[in-house]
Amino acid sequence: MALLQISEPGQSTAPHRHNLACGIDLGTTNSLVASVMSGETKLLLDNDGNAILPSIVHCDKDGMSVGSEALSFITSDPVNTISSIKRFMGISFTEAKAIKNLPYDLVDREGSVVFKTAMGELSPVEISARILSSLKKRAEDALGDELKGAVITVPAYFNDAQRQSTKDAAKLAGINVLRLLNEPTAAAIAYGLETKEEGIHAVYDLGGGTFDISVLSFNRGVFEVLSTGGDSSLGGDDFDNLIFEDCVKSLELKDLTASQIQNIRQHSKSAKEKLSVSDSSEFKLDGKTYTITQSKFEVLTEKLVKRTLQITKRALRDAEIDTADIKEVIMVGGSTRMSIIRESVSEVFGKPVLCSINPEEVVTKGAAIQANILAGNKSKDDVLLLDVLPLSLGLETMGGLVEKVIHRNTTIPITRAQEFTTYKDGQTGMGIHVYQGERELTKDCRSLGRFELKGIPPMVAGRARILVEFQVDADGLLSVSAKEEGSGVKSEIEIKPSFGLSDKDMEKMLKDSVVFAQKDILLRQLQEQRVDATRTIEAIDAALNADKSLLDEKMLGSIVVARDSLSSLVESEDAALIKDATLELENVSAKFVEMRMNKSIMSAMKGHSIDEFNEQL
Amino acid sequence: MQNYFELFDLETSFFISDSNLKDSYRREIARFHPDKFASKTDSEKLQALQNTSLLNTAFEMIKSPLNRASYLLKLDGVDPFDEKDTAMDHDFLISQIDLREELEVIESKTDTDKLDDFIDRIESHVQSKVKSISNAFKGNSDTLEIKKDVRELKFYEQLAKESNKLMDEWL
Repeated sequence: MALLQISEPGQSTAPHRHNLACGIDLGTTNSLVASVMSGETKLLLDNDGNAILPSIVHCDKDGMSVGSEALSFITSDPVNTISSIKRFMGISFTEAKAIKNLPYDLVDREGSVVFKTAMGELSPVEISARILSSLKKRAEDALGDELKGAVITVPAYFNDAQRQSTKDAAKLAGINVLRLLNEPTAAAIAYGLETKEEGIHAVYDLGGGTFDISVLSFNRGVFEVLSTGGDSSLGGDDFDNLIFEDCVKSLELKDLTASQIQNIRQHSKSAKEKLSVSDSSEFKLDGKTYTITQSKFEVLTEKLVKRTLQITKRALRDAEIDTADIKEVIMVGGSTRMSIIRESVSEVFGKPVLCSINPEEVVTKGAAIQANILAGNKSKDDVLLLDVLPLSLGLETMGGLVEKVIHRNTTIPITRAQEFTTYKDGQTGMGIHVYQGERELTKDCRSLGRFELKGIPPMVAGRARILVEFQVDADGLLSVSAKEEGSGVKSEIEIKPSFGLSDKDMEKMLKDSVVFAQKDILLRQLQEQRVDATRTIEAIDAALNADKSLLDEKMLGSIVVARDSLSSLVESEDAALIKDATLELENVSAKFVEMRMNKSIMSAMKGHSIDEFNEQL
Repeated sequence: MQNYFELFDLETSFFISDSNLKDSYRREIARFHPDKFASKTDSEKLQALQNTSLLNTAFEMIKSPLNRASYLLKLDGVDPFDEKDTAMDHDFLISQIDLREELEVIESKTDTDKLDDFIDRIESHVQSKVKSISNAFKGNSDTLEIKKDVRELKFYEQLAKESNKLMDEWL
């Protein structure tokens, strides 16, 4: 190979040339950027020496400002000062409206959410892009040249829409995305490489707006995620909000203006932070004092904490791991500073949790290490990451059911194909509707997109072989293609939904999938019975259309009666009743089916002598 | 095309060593993972994506005894989960219905002790089915006989999964 490495004129051949790359943690509350410089992973600082960039954007008619500059407008210009934008990525207008106590002016743009600001209407992707481009500039100033690319971290539990939106924001900011990296996995790399620890670890990551739990094994540079779980709308913001609501209630505050809302929110946040180091905390509002004690806080937030613990247990179950097998529990994300979180998590695992690492920096550092490797730079560490799909992917089948094609916690990248068929004679098109979620019915899962396979050659129902292929890449992003095997007719899409699964939905979906598994099975039986019934009716109608003349009046009468009675039952809720009526229709038309068969044999033989057929036999 | 065992340089057999499989998987995946091709051409990246997907599928198909036995049957031209063939041993089905009813009663009473005992029993059924499948492969039994065991194992595994899930919810 060495002989082939002849460079073109003007191109550098220097193999030691360092490709500039960085890791970015685009957080709900704060964002950071880091890079590997001469073998050391370093956080990059702004001109004032700060590593942390508050994820806040102020939109003024003269332009946007980001970070601490924007933060100063949070109470004076609340409508135009947008914080926690990460919570809005990849969700619909309806879902955004459901977020409590927002001072913003939200607008519905074809189902997606946009912010009405002094700069006009801005989407979450555009606002996030502003934060990213500020970090990009910081990195290029610090590194002295243009970036080759960046690794951007996302919550492990982000769905396809949320991942896609993050990638779009980076593109908009002019960043070449080397990889989207799951936050707990990034933390594990930084921790694992520094400590050289091997074995199975859990990463509990509670940030400003999202929660992830990942169970990983580290083994000779291979970081293998065994399972992951989470809630991409559960984070520090929700804890602040509980203090906010308690304060509004106990001080009997009414008719709050947007700037008052933001003021109380800021106070609630600081009160929560203070509770990490002290037993009680208080603040003053319009001359009144609000006090919250540690024990009151624990009561208020019990539900949230419990939820993260349940998700944690589920992830352990999915990984088929006992808590005793976990070597260390790594705490990541600013919200794990809350003592109630540290105590409850260590109780679940039956051992003290590891808090010695800086929970805000470790994710960024892990991303920087991965970026350095992906950019093609020599690294002292040979690292390989094997991550998993957080939520199952499937297709809609007849009767509003979801057929899972790839199950959650499958190692990615992965390709899976599933064969489907037509259900009507002569059907030439097929709608392919892709869903993400754990439940059995489409209405309980999130639609990711739909497309149409056209030009299937007309065939008898059930004859066509439609192969639908799902491909999930290393970023966790899905693309789907379909083709009819016989004719080779092909159709494909990159799944690109306008908005993603809301976390409330996801939470509900997961909770429901456990509670309602039983109910789903019954509903599934009902749906299948309905499909069966509809098919039988369609077949009978087609047969009657073609060969009614074969029947005498009595036979025709009994078939029609059975058909109509089934047709009136199809929408009933009783699977057994539908089944009986379907069988009845099949029974009374058995003779008719036989007659039709005979007729078609007769017509096939028409014009031939019986002897000809005998010869062939 | 190579079969999934050959992909990992393993003998096409039910009796493979877990650690050999894991080592081989890690070695192969490290060679082909898209991250190793991040600065290569798009077509090389696509190739890497396809290779890794294949390795991940292959690994999953031979990792667990149930999947491995099913795959070996398929290589022999027998599909253990053919949708058109739903015939099962009558007594086996009755025993499954009994077990499911028992689980329902345990669930309705939230009886953790009984569930604990139930899970133990199902686990031992799973173990004995795996053993029986392993013996059948050892003795070169008729594939149809292995198919019967594989199908029954799937029933037990499903039941084990559901009862474990229930236990986790109660704890």
